[in-house]
Amino acid sequence: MLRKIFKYEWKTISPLLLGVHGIGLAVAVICRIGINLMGGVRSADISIMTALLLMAAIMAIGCIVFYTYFYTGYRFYKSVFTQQGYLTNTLPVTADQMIWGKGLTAIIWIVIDCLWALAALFILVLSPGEAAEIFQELPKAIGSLFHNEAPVFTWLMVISVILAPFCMVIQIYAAAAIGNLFTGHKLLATIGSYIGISFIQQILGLVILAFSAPHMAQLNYQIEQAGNNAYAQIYAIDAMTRYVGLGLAFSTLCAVGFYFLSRYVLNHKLNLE
Amino acid sequence: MSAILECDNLTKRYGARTALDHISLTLESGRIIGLLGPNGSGKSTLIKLINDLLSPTEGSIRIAGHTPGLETKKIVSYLPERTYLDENLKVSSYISYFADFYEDFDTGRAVDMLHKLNIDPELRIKTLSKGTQEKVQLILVMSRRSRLYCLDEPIAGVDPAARDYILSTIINNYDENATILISTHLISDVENILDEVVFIHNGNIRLQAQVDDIRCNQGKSIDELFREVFKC
Amino acid sequence: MTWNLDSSRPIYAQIAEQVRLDIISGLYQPGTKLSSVRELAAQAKVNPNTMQKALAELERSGLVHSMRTSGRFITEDTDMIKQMKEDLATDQIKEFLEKMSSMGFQPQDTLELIEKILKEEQP
Repeated sequence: MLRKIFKYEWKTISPLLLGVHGIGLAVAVICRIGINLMGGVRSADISIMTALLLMAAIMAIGCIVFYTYFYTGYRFYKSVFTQQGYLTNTLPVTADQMIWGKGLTAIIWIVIDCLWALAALFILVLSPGEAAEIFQELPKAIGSLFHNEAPVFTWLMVISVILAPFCMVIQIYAAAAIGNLFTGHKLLATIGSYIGISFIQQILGLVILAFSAPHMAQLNYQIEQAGNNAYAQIYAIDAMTRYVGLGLAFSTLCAVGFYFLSRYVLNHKLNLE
Repeated sequence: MSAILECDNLTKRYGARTALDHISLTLESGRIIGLLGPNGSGKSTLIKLINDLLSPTEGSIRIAGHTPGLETKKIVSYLPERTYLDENLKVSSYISYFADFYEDFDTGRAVDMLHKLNIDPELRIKTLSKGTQEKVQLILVMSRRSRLYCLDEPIAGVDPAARDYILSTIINNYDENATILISTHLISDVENILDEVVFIHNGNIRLQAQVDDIRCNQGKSIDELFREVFKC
Repeated sequence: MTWNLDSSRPIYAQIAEQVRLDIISGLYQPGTKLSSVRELAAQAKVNPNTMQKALAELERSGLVHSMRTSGRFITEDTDMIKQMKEDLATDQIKEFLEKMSSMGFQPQDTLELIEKILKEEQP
């Protein structure tokens, strides 16, 4: 059933997203041609028009990235909590299968979207030579990240990056689940919940930082004491590792919370109009 | 005969408002049953509870022995009051959707019924009239070989020709071992196809009886009795 | 066939009555096969359970009999049909005579009146 939910959700959301990303890529190519015609981005005196065009293109790419994320969230809201929910919620499917099946399509699209955005940026500003250089150096750079003094730090970063789409998707699902509890204006309530959740997350993040401050101050002191040498670097890496680890633990906790919240609402608190 | 639906002290409150008030009700297999009551009497709430779209505040509900959930969704076919079809999809997408998710869905039957109505499965839902969308939804729901069908106001707001089509579709697809629960406030239109009626009012069951018993004992049509019971 | 069903009386009984009338009047010939319960139910726009009950009623009276595998048939016992026809006619005439007597007609007067009307209708 998970596979079926995934399949139909994929078939439903992909045509539009494919179209949008195709158009985005075309825009990047056209802007690049325009920029080249106006002398490129490498000339010393870059024209205002070139700068504006570049900015517009980057904004367009940014918009599509945002759009993809919110569109997948909207699709979840629409298929589960609006009239379509009468069918979605009477399928012989568990809430877990529903969240994972739909969530995986969103996660995959977010990943595609990030890679797409990188590609679009490359098209926009890189020359073929530079691109080749980057691709040559990239494996070496990545390798060195794992073979330096801070492999733990690198691994934590990798896990954070992998987990990020999960956290993003489940946060928007949880917002839709909360929005569903309101009578009327559910979409507005969903958007409000999303903003509220983000806000609370920020506050909690700050609170955690504040509590860890004495400990971090201690580390900071150690770094300063060590002066400008290898020990200072070790302490600094240690500090960064702790920060990233803390962040990772926090967002994982949030994601798990959001997951159970969404699941609970789907199982017990559906409020279809 | 075995019970397909058993409600015991079933209660549903929305905040301070009580939609269903300690209802105890047993429905047998192999019957067409009318769930009759004025608007806001609790009909839809009961049907939503059966379909696991709501959770009971108190009491229990069992369908073929299971509480509403994964197992019951496999054997209950539900026609909600509103259309739930996604406008951008094709009719044929829904056929494969139903066939994929419901083991009891009979694709041949659905295709056949669409064909009889001259509905092209390749059309998108948004190109169909509202009445046709409703018929498509009914065809999907009635093409399942379910144990229990819950039809929530299937004939409200349709013209007489559509009403006849809907009723004959229900009869033609009815399997003698299944139970059909039809909620409606338009009683004279459906009473000839009912075996049994349940009158519901303000969240309480007022009456559960065989239609022929009512006609024999009281010499009244169900519609007349309903008007008497719910006289303002 | 059109069905006139009155919602204030049991539907199955009305269906049984109408089928019986159709058999007596010869609309259904003795020995013909009846449509399936489902088809008849769809025609009459009633629930198959109701149609089933009506046919069971007819079977009980002997007008219809079912072969286990091949379906339901109108009886071939023409004497029985004839008998039923007569019974029904007798009932109707008795009822009619009662009405006439309540209007003050003696049976003899009624008969004379009937003969007079018949003569006028067939010149």
